[in-house]
Amino acid sequence: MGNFNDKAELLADRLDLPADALAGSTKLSLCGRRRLMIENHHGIISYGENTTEVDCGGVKLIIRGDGLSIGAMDKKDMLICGRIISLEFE
Amino acid sequence: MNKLYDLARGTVRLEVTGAQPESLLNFCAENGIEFWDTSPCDDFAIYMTIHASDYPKLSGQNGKNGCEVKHIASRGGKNISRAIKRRWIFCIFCGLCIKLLAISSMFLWSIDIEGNENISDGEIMRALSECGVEYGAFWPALSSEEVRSSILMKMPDIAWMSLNVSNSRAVVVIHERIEKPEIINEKAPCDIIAEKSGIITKLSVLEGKQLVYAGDTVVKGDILVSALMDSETGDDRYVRAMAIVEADTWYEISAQTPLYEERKVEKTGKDSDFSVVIGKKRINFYSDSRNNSISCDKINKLRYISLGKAFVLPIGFASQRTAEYETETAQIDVNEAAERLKSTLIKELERRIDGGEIVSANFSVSQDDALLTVTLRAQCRENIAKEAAYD
Repeated sequence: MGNFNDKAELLADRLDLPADALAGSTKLSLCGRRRLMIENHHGIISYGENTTEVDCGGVKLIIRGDGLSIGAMDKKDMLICGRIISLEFE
Repeated sequence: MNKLYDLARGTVRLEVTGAQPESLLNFCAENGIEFWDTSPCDDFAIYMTIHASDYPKLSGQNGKNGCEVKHIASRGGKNISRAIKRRWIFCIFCGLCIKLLAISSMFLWSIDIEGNENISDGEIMRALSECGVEYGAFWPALSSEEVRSSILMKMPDIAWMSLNVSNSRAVVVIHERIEKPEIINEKAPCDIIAEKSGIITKLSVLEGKQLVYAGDTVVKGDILVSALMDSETGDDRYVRAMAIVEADTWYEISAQTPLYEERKVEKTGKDSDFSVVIGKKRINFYSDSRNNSISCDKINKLRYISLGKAFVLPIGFASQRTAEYETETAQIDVNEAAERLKSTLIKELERRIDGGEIVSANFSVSQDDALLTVTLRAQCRENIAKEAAYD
Protein backbone atom coordinates (compact mmCIF):
# COMPACT_ATOMS: atom_id res chain seq x y z
CA MET A 1 0.00 0.00 0.00
CA GLY A 2 2.81 2.35 1.05
CA ASN A 3 4.65 1.42 -2.09
CA PHE A 4 1.59 2.22 -4.20
CA ASN A 5 1.18 5.57 -2.48
CA ASP A 6 4.83 6.42 -3.05
CA LYS A 7 4.48 5.64 -6.74
CA ALA A 8 1.29 7.65 -7.00
CA GLU A 9 2.95 10.61 -5.33
CA LEU A 10 5.91 10.27 -7.69
CA LEU A 11 3.53 10.24 -10.67
CA ALA A 12 1.69 13.29 -9.31
CA ASP A 13 5.03 15.07 -9.00
CA ARG A 14 5.92 14.24 -12.60
CA LEU A 15 2.52 15.36 -13.90
CA ASP A 16 2.67 18.48 -11.76
CA LEU A 17 -0.62 17.58 -10.05
CA PRO A 18 -1.59 17.89 -6.36
CA ALA A 19 -0.62 14.66 -4.64
CA ASP A 20 -3.63 14.62 -2.33
CA ALA A 21 -5.99 14.72 -5.30
CA LEU A 22 -4.32 11.99 -7.31
CA ALA A 23 -2.98 9.63 -4.69
CA GLY A 24 -5.16 10.49 -1.70
CA SER A 25 -2.07 11.46 0.23
CA THR A 26 -2.37 12.96 3.67
CA LYS A 27 -2.44 16.73 3.64
CA LEU A 28 -1.23 18.63 6.71
CA SER A 29 -2.12 22.26 7.31
CA LEU A 30 -0.37 23.86 10.25
CA CYS A 31 -1.87 27.10 11.45
CA GLY A 32 0.67 28.78 13.72
CA ARG A 33 1.80 26.18 16.22
CA ARG A 34 -1.50 25.51 17.94
CA ARG A 35 -3.70 23.98 15.23
CA LEU A 36 -2.89 21.14 12.90
CA MET A 37 -5.40 20.03 10.28
CA ILE A 38 -4.88 16.51 8.95
CA GLU A 39 -6.83 15.57 5.81
CA ASN A 40 -7.11 12.03 4.41
CA HIS A 41 -6.00 10.35 7.63
CA HIS A 42 -6.54 6.65 8.31
CA GLY A 43 -7.30 6.83 12.01
CA ILE A 44 -5.69 7.60 15.29
CA ILE A 45 -3.10 5.16 16.66
CA SER A 46 -2.45 6.62 20.09
CA TYR A 47 -3.69 9.65 21.88
CA GLY A 48 -1.97 11.52 24.69
CA GLU A 49 -1.45 15.05 25.91
CA ASN A 50 2.21 15.05 24.88
CA THR A 51 2.28 12.60 21.97
CA THR A 52 -0.40 11.73 19.47
CA GLU A 53 0.12 9.28 16.65
CA VAL A 54 -1.95 9.33 13.48
CA ASP A 55 -2.07 6.71 10.74
CA CYS A 56 -1.49 8.49 7.44
CA GLY A 57 -1.70 5.38 5.24
CA GLY A 58 1.60 3.53 5.24
CA VAL A 59 3.30 6.19 7.27
CA LYS A 60 2.82 7.16 10.90
CA LEU A 61 2.70 10.81 11.87
CA ILE A 62 3.92 11.50 15.40
CA ILE A 63 2.85 14.84 16.83
CA ARG A 64 4.71 15.95 19.92
CA GLY A 65 3.62 18.87 22.04
CA ASP A 66 1.93 20.05 25.23
CA GLY A 67 -1.77 19.80 26.02
CA LEU A 68 -2.64 18.14 22.73
CA SER A 69 -6.30 17.42 22.13
CA ILE A 70 -8.56 16.41 19.28
CA GLY A 71 -10.58 19.50 18.34
CA ALA A 72 -12.72 17.70 15.77
CA MET A 73 -12.54 14.43 13.91
CA ASP A 74 -14.45 12.68 11.18
CA LYS A 75 -13.77 9.93 8.69
CA LYS A 76 -11.28 11.96 6.64
CA ASP A 77 -10.28 15.03 8.58
CA MET A 78 -8.89 15.61 12.01
CA LEU A 79 -8.02 18.80 13.89
CA ILE A 80 -5.35 18.62 16.56
CA CYS A 81 -5.14 21.54 18.96
CA GLY A 82 -2.51 22.38 21.56
CA ARG A 83 1.09 23.58 21.60
CA ILE A 84 2.82 21.63 18.83
CA ILE A 85 6.56 21.11 19.24
CA SER A 86 7.40 18.72 16.42
CA LEU A 87 5.96 16.60 13.63
CA GLU A 88 7.69 13.37 12.73
CA PHE A 89 7.02 10.70 10.08
CA GLU A 90 7.89 7.11 10.93
CA MET B 1 -25.09 28.98 20.39
CA ASN B 2 -23.49 25.58 19.78
CA LYS B 3 -23.53 24.91 23.52
CA LEU B 4 -27.25 25.70 23.68
CA TYR B 5 -27.85 23.37 20.73
CA ASP B 6 -25.87 20.61 22.43
CA LEU B 7 -27.76 21.19 25.67
CA ALA B 8 -31.09 20.94 23.86
CA ARG B 9 -30.04 17.66 22.20
CA GLY B 10 -28.54 16.32 25.40
CA THR B 11 -24.96 15.28 25.99
CA VAL B 12 -23.29 12.27 27.63
CA ARG B 13 -19.83 12.29 29.18
CA LEU B 14 -18.05 8.95 28.79
CA GLU B 15 -14.91 7.30 30.04
CA VAL B 16 -13.36 4.84 27.61
CA THR B 17 -10.87 2.44 29.14
CA GLY B 18 -8.96 -0.41 27.56
CA ALA B 19 -5.73 -1.40 25.85
CA GLN B 20 -6.46 0.90 22.92
CA PRO B 21 -9.15 3.45 23.71
CA GLU B 22 -8.19 5.34 20.51
CA SER B 23 -9.94 2.63 18.50
CA LEU B 24 -13.24 3.95 19.83
CA LEU B 25 -12.36 7.43 18.55
CA ASN B 26 -11.73 5.89 15.12
CA PHE B 27 -15.05 4.07 15.36
CA CYS B 28 -16.80 7.38 16.11
CA ALA B 29 -15.09 9.12 13.18
CA GLU B 30 -15.99 6.31 10.78
CA ASN B 31 -19.63 6.18 11.89
CA GLY B 32 -20.22 9.92 11.95
CA ILE B 33 -20.57 10.15 15.72
CA GLU B 34 -19.68 13.65 16.75
CA PHE B 35 -17.46 13.88 19.84
CA TRP B 36 -15.66 16.69 21.63
CA ASP B 37 -13.87 17.58 24.86
CA THR B 38 -11.65 14.54 24.51
CA SER B 39 -8.96 14.41 27.11
CA PRO B 40 -6.62 11.53 27.85
CA CYS B 41 -6.92 10.48 31.47
CA ASP B 42 -3.91 8.14 31.41
CA ASP B 43 -2.35 5.72 28.90
CA PHE B 44 -5.39 3.46 28.94
CA ALA B 45 -8.33 5.83 29.47
CA ILE B 46 -9.92 8.73 27.57
CA TYR B 47 -12.76 11.04 28.50
CA MET B 48 -15.07 12.17 25.73
CA THR B 49 -18.47 13.81 25.27
CA ILE B 50 -21.07 12.79 22.67
CA HIS B 51 -24.69 13.61 21.90
CA ALA B 52 -27.17 11.58 23.94
CA SER B 53 -28.77 10.24 20.73
CA ASP B 54 -25.44 8.63 19.71
CA TYR B 55 -24.99 6.89 23.05
CA PRO B 56 -26.85 3.66 22.15
CA LYS B 57 -24.59 3.23 19.09
CA LEU B 58 -21.48 3.66 21.19
CA SER B 59 -22.66 1.59 24.11
CA GLY B 60 -22.92 -1.29 21.63
CA GLN B 61 -19.16 -1.15 21.39
CA ASN B 62 -18.80 -1.78 25.11
CA GLY B 63 -16.57 -4.77 25.56
CA LYS B 64 -15.53 -4.92 21.90
CA ASN B 65 -11.90 -4.29 20.88
CA GLY B 66 -10.98 -4.59 24.55
CA CYS B 67 -12.62 -1.24 25.34
CA GLU B 68 -15.02 -0.52 28.11
CA VAL B 69 -17.39 2.44 27.82
CA LYS B 70 -18.48 3.91 31.13
CA HIS B 71 -21.22 6.51 31.43
CA ILE B 72 -20.13 9.35 33.75
CA ALA B 73 -22.71 12.13 33.45
CA SER B 74 -25.64 13.35 31.36
CA ARG B 75 -26.73 16.92 30.66
CA GLY B 76 -29.67 18.52 28.84
CA GLY B 77 -32.07 16.72 26.48
CA LYS B 78 -34.37 14.34 28.29
CA ASN B 79 -33.04 15.52 31.64
CA ILE B 80 -34.51 18.94 30.94
CA SER B 81 -37.91 17.55 29.98
CA ARG B 82 -37.90 15.40 33.12
CA ALA B 83 -37.04 18.46 35.22
CA ILE B 84 -39.85 20.41 33.55
CA LYS B 85 -42.32 17.62 34.34
CA ARG B 86 -41.26 17.67 37.98
CA ARG B 87 -41.54 21.49 38.27
CA TRP B 88 -44.62 22.10 36.15
CA ILE B 89 -46.00 24.82 38.45
CA PHE B 90 -42.76 26.74 38.20
CA CYS B 91 -42.77 26.38 34.40
CA ILE B 92 -46.37 27.61 34.16
CA PHE B 93 -45.43 30.56 36.35
CA CYS B 94 -42.46 31.35 34.06
CA GLY B 95 -44.70 31.09 31.01
CA LEU B 96 -47.22 33.45 32.60
CA CYS B 97 -44.45 35.90 33.42
CA ILE B 98 -43.25 35.85 29.82
CA LYS B 99 -46.81 36.41 28.60
CA LEU B 100 -47.30 39.28 31.05
CA LEU B 101 -44.01 40.77 29.94
CA ALA B 102 -45.07 40.53 26.30
CA ILE B 103 -48.45 42.12 27.04
CA SER B 104 -47.01 44.85 29.27
CA SER B 105 -44.46 45.75 26.61
CA MET B 106 -47.43 46.98 24.55
CA PHE B 107 -48.04 49.75 27.10
CA LEU B 108 -45.90 52.73 27.99
CA TRP B 109 -44.36 52.52 31.45
CA SER B 110 -41.44 54.87 30.99
CA ILE B 111 -41.33 58.24 29.24
CA ASP B 112 -37.99 60.01 28.92
CA ILE B 113 -37.70 63.57 27.65
CA GLU B 114 -34.43 64.76 26.18
CA GLY B 115 -33.15 67.98 24.66
CA ASN B 116 -35.31 70.52 26.54
CA GLU B 117 -33.58 73.36 28.33
CA ASN B 118 -36.09 76.15 28.78
CA ILE B 119 -39.32 74.17 28.66
CA SER B 120 -39.87 72.04 31.75
CA ASP B 121 -40.48 68.29 31.65
CA GLY B 122 -43.82 68.86 33.36
CA GLU B 123 -45.13 71.13 30.59
CA ILE B 124 -44.09 68.63 27.93
CA MET B 125 -45.59 65.72 29.88
CA ARG B 126 -48.91 67.58 30.18
CA ALA B 127 -48.97 68.29 26.44
CA LEU B 128 -48.04 64.67 25.69
CA SER B 129 -50.76 63.45 28.01
CA GLU B 130 -53.34 65.50 26.10
CA CYS B 131 -52.14 63.75 22.93
CA GLY B 132 -52.54 60.32 24.54
CA VAL B 133 -48.89 59.71 25.38
CA GLU B 134 -49.00 58.91 29.09
CA TYR B 135 -48.18 56.13 31.50
CA GLY B 136 -50.16 53.03 30.65
CA ALA B 137 -51.01 54.16 27.10
CA PHE B 138 -51.32 51.45 24.44
CA TRP B 139 -48.44 52.55 22.24
CA PRO B 140 -49.20 50.61 19.01
CA ALA B 141 -52.28 52.88 18.69
CA LEU B 142 -50.12 56.02 18.82
CA SER B 143 -49.03 57.72 15.65
CA SER B 144 -45.69 59.42 16.04
CA GLU B 145 -46.50 61.94 13.31
CA GLU B 146 -49.89 62.85 14.78
CA VAL B 147 -48.39 63.34 18.22
CA ARG B 148 -45.63 65.48 16.74
CA SER B 149 -48.09 67.66 14.79
CA SER B 150 -50.34 68.28 17.76
CA ILE B 151 -47.44 68.98 20.13
CA LEU B 152 -45.96 71.49 17.68
CA MET B 153 -49.38 73.16 17.43
CA LYS B 154 -49.82 73.26 21.22
CA MET B 155 -46.30 74.39 22.08
CA PRO B 156 -44.93 77.02 19.68
CA ASP B 157 -41.63 77.09 21.62
CA ILE B 158 -40.82 73.65 20.23
CA ALA B 159 -39.29 73.71 16.76
CA TRP B 160 -39.19 69.96 16.23
CA MET B 161 -39.76 66.79 18.20
CA SER B 162 -39.63 63.07 17.71
CA LEU B 163 -41.27 60.24 19.58
CA ASN B 164 -39.43 56.92 19.60
CA VAL B 165 -41.13 53.99 21.28
CA SER B 166 -39.22 50.84 22.03
CA ASN B 167 -41.12 48.15 23.94
CA SER B 168 -42.60 49.96 26.91
CA ARG B 169 -40.23 52.91 26.88
CA ALA B 170 -40.87 56.15 25.00
CA VAL B 171 -38.10 58.64 24.30
CA VAL B 172 -39.24 62.13 23.35
CA VAL B 173 -36.50 64.23 21.75
CA ILE B 174 -37.20 67.96 21.82
CA HIS B 175 -35.54 70.72 19.82
CA GLU B 176 -36.48 74.10 21.21
CA ARG B 177 -37.12 77.06 18.93
CA ILE B 178 -34.28 79.58 18.79
CA GLU B 179 -35.43 83.17 19.23
CA LYS B 180 -35.35 85.22 16.04
CA PRO B 181 -32.60 87.86 16.30
CA GLU B 182 -33.62 91.51 16.33
CA ILE B 183 -33.50 92.95 12.82
CA ILE B 184 -31.40 96.09 12.73
CA ASN B 185 -32.10 98.78 10.19
CA GLU B 186 -28.59 99.53 9.06
CA LYS B 187 -29.68 102.74 7.33
CA ALA B 188 -31.22 104.32 10.46
CA PRO B 189 -28.81 106.95 11.91
CA CYS B 190 -27.49 106.30 15.39
CA ASP B 191 -24.84 107.65 17.76
CA ILE B 192 -22.33 105.74 19.80
CA ILE B 193 -22.65 106.60 23.47
CA ALA B 194 -20.71 105.54 26.57
CA GLU B 195 -22.32 102.57 28.26
CA LYS B 196 -20.20 103.10 31.38
CA SER B 197 -18.06 105.85 32.87
CA GLY B 198 -14.28 105.62 32.40
CA ILE B 199 -11.10 106.89 30.76
CA ILE B 200 -10.75 106.12 27.08
CA THR B 201 -7.59 104.23 26.19
CA LYS B 202 -8.19 103.33 22.55
CA LEU B 203 -10.80 104.39 20.01
CA SER B 204 -11.39 102.95 16.51
CA VAL B 205 -14.07 104.80 14.56
CA LEU B 206 -15.40 102.99 11.49
CA GLU B 207 -18.27 105.37 10.69
CA GLY B 208 -19.44 108.70 12.15
CA LYS B 209 -17.88 111.82 13.59
CA GLN B 210 -15.41 111.28 16.45
CA LEU B 211 -16.15 113.54 19.44
CA VAL B 212 -13.74 112.16 22.08
CA TYR B 213 -10.11 111.01 22.03
CA ALA B 214 -7.83 108.64 23.94
CA GLY B 215 -7.15 109.99 27.43
CA ASP B 216 -10.55 111.72 27.71
CA THR B 217 -12.78 110.95 30.68
CA VAL B 218 -16.38 110.13 29.82
CA VAL B 219 -19.43 109.49 31.94
CA LYS B 220 -22.23 107.09 31.21
CA GLY B 221 -24.43 108.40 28.37
CA ASP B 222 -21.88 110.78 26.78
CA ILE B 223 -21.92 110.78 22.99
CA LEU B 224 -18.62 109.38 21.78
CA VAL B 225 -19.20 109.19 18.03
CA SER B 226 -21.93 111.28 16.41
CA ALA B 227 -24.22 110.17 13.60
CA LEU B 228 -24.18 113.69 12.12
CA MET B 229 -21.27 114.16 9.74
CA ASP B 230 -20.21 117.51 8.34
CA SER B 231 -19.85 117.82 4.59
CA GLU B 232 -17.73 120.52 2.90
CA THR B 233 -19.46 120.11 -0.45
CA GLY B 234 -23.12 119.49 0.37
CA ASP B 235 -25.65 119.08 3.15
CA ASP B 236 -24.87 117.32 6.45
CA ARG B 237 -25.05 113.56 6.31
CA TYR B 238 -26.63 111.21 8.83
CA VAL B 239 -24.92 107.84 9.20
CA ARG B 240 -25.07 104.81 11.42
CA ALA B 241 -22.03 105.39 13.67
CA MET B 242 -19.79 102.40 14.30
CA ALA B 243 -16.83 102.34 16.68
CA ILE B 244 -14.91 100.26 19.19
CA VAL B 245 -14.15 102.32 22.29
CA GLU B 246 -11.85 100.75 24.86
CA ALA B 247 -11.80 102.42 28.23
CA ASP B 248 -10.51 101.83 31.74
CA THR B 249 -13.43 101.38 34.09
CA TRP B 250 -13.61 100.94 37.85
CA TYR B 251 -15.95 98.74 39.85
CA GLU B 252 -16.76 98.34 43.50
CA ILE B 253 -19.00 95.39 44.25
CA SER B 254 -19.89 94.03 47.68
CA ALA B 255 -21.38 90.75 48.83
CA GLN B 256 -22.58 89.75 52.27
CA THR B 257 -23.35 86.55 54.09
CA PRO B 258 -24.64 85.96 57.64
CA LEU B 259 -22.08 84.66 60.11
CA TYR B 260 -24.57 82.29 61.70
CA GLU B 261 -26.76 79.80 59.93
CA GLU B 262 -29.49 77.37 60.79
CA ARG B 263 -28.41 73.75 60.38
CA LYS B 264 -30.53 70.63 60.28
CA VAL B 265 -29.74 67.92 62.80
CA GLU B 266 -31.52 64.67 62.00
CA LYS B 267 -33.23 62.98 64.89
CA THR B 268 -32.87 59.26 65.28
CA GLY B 269 -35.70 56.97 64.29
CA LYS B 270 -36.36 57.50 60.59
CA ASP B 271 -39.61 56.08 59.30
CA SER B 272 -39.66 54.23 56.00
CA ASP B 273 -42.98 53.39 54.39
CA PHE B 274 -43.36 51.09 51.44
CA SER B 275 -46.00 50.77 48.78
CA VAL B 276 -46.40 48.67 45.65
CA VAL B 277 -47.34 50.42 42.42
CA ILE B 278 -49.20 48.35 39.82
CA GLY B 279 -49.89 50.39 36.71
CA LYS B 280 -51.50 53.54 38.01
CA LYS B 281 -52.75 51.94 41.24
CA ARG B 282 -50.82 52.25 44.47
CA ILE B 283 -51.11 49.84 47.38
CA ASN B 284 -49.79 51.38 50.58
CA PHE B 285 -48.41 49.25 53.36
CA TYR B 286 -48.85 52.03 55.87
CA SER B 287 -51.91 53.65 57.35
CA ASP B 288 -51.07 57.33 57.71
CA SER B 289 -48.89 59.36 55.34
CA ARG B 290 -49.46 62.72 57.04
CA ASN B 291 -46.65 64.63 58.69
CA ASN B 292 -47.06 64.44 62.42
CA SER B 293 -44.03 66.57 63.01
CA ILE B 294 -43.56 70.15 61.84
CA SER B 295 -39.89 69.77 60.91
CA CYS B 296 -39.27 66.73 58.82
CA ASP B 297 -37.90 65.73 55.44
CA LYS B 298 -39.97 63.46 53.26
CA ILE B 299 -38.09 61.64 50.50
CA ASN B 300 -40.12 59.68 47.97
CA LYS B 301 -38.56 57.17 45.62
CA LEU B 302 -40.39 55.25 42.91
CA ARG B 303 -38.75 52.49 40.93
CA TYR B 304 -40.37 50.28 38.31
CA ILE B 305 -39.06 46.77 37.78
CA SER B 306 -37.22 46.70 34.47
CA LEU B 307 -35.00 44.43 32.43
CA GLY B 308 -32.29 46.80 31.33
CA LYS B 309 -33.71 49.91 29.69
CA ALA B 310 -35.77 48.06 27.12
CA PHE B 311 -38.44 46.29 29.18
CA VAL B 312 -40.14 48.19 31.95
CA LEU B 313 -42.78 46.31 33.90
CA PRO B 314 -45.87 48.11 35.21
CA ILE B 315 -44.98 46.91 38.70
CA GLY B 316 -42.85 49.05 40.94
CA PHE B 317 -41.99 49.85 44.51
CA ALA B 318 -42.35 53.22 46.14
CA SER B 319 -40.60 54.09 49.34
CA GLN B 320 -41.25 57.11 51.48
CA ARG B 321 -38.67 58.03 54.06
CA THR B 322 -39.57 60.52 56.73
CA ALA B 323 -36.74 61.95 58.78
CA GLU B 324 -37.49 64.37 61.57
CA TYR B 325 -34.93 67.08 62.24
CA GLU B 326 -34.19 69.92 64.59
CA THR B 327 -32.48 73.15 63.69
CA GLU B 328 -29.56 74.64 65.54
CA THR B 329 -27.70 77.87 65.02
CA ALA B 330 -24.03 77.45 64.17
CA GLN B 331 -21.26 79.81 63.11
CA ILE B 332 -20.01 79.43 59.55
CA ASP B 333 -16.36 78.95 58.60
CA VAL B 334 -15.35 82.59 57.96
CA ASN B 335 -12.40 81.81 55.63
CA GLU B 336 -14.42 79.40 53.56
CA ALA B 337 -17.32 81.85 53.30
CA ALA B 338 -14.94 84.68 52.30
CA GLU B 339 -13.43 82.55 49.52
CA ARG B 340 -16.91 81.64 48.30
CA LEU B 341 -17.93 85.30 48.21
CA LYS B 342 -14.71 86.27 46.39
CA SER B 343 -15.33 83.75 43.63
CA THR B 344 -18.96 84.93 43.37
CA LEU B 345 -17.80 88.53 43.05
CA ILE B 346 -15.27 87.68 40.34
CA LYS B 347 -18.00 85.86 38.41
CA GLU B 348 -20.31 88.86 38.78
CA LEU B 349 -17.55 91.21 37.57
CA GLU B 350 -16.86 88.99 34.55
CA ARG B 351 -20.57 89.04 33.76
CA ARG B 352 -20.64 92.85 33.93
CA ILE B 353 -17.57 93.50 31.74
CA ASP B 354 -18.78 90.91 29.18
CA GLY B 355 -15.49 89.84 27.57
CA GLY B 356 -13.41 92.70 28.94
CA GLU B 357 -10.12 92.35 30.78
CA ILE B 358 -9.56 92.66 34.53
CA VAL B 359 -6.45 94.85 34.92
CA SER B 360 -6.26 94.73 38.71
CA ALA B 361 -8.49 93.55 41.54
CA ASN B 362 -8.30 93.55 45.31
CA PHE B 363 -10.62 92.40 48.03
CA SER B 364 -11.36 93.72 51.47
CA VAL B 365 -13.08 91.59 54.10
CA SER B 366 -14.92 93.00 57.09
CA GLN B 367 -17.27 91.55 59.62
CA ASP B 368 -19.60 92.84 62.28
CA ASP B 369 -21.74 90.92 64.78
CA ALA B 370 -23.92 89.20 62.27
CA LEU B 371 -22.59 89.75 58.73
CA LEU B 372 -19.46 89.03 56.77
CA THR B 373 -18.88 91.56 53.98
CA VAL B 374 -16.44 91.13 51.10
CA THR B 375 -15.83 94.09 48.77
CA LEU B 376 -14.15 93.83 45.37
CA ARG B 377 -12.47 96.88 43.88
CA ALA B 378 -11.28 96.33 40.34
CA GLN B 379 -9.92 98.19 37.36
CA CYS B 380 -11.01 96.76 34.02
CA ARG B 381 -10.50 97.45 30.35
CA GLU B 382 -13.55 96.95 28.18
CA ASN B 383 -15.50 98.18 25.17
CA ILE B 384 -17.94 100.83 26.41
CA ALA B 385 -19.47 101.72 23.01
CA LYS B 386 -23.25 101.40 22.81
CA GLU B 387 -25.54 102.29 19.94
CA ALA B 388 -28.26 104.89 20.64
CA ALA B 389 -30.85 106.21 18.21
CA TYR B 390 -30.00 109.67 16.87
CA ASP B 391 -32.33 112.42 18.15
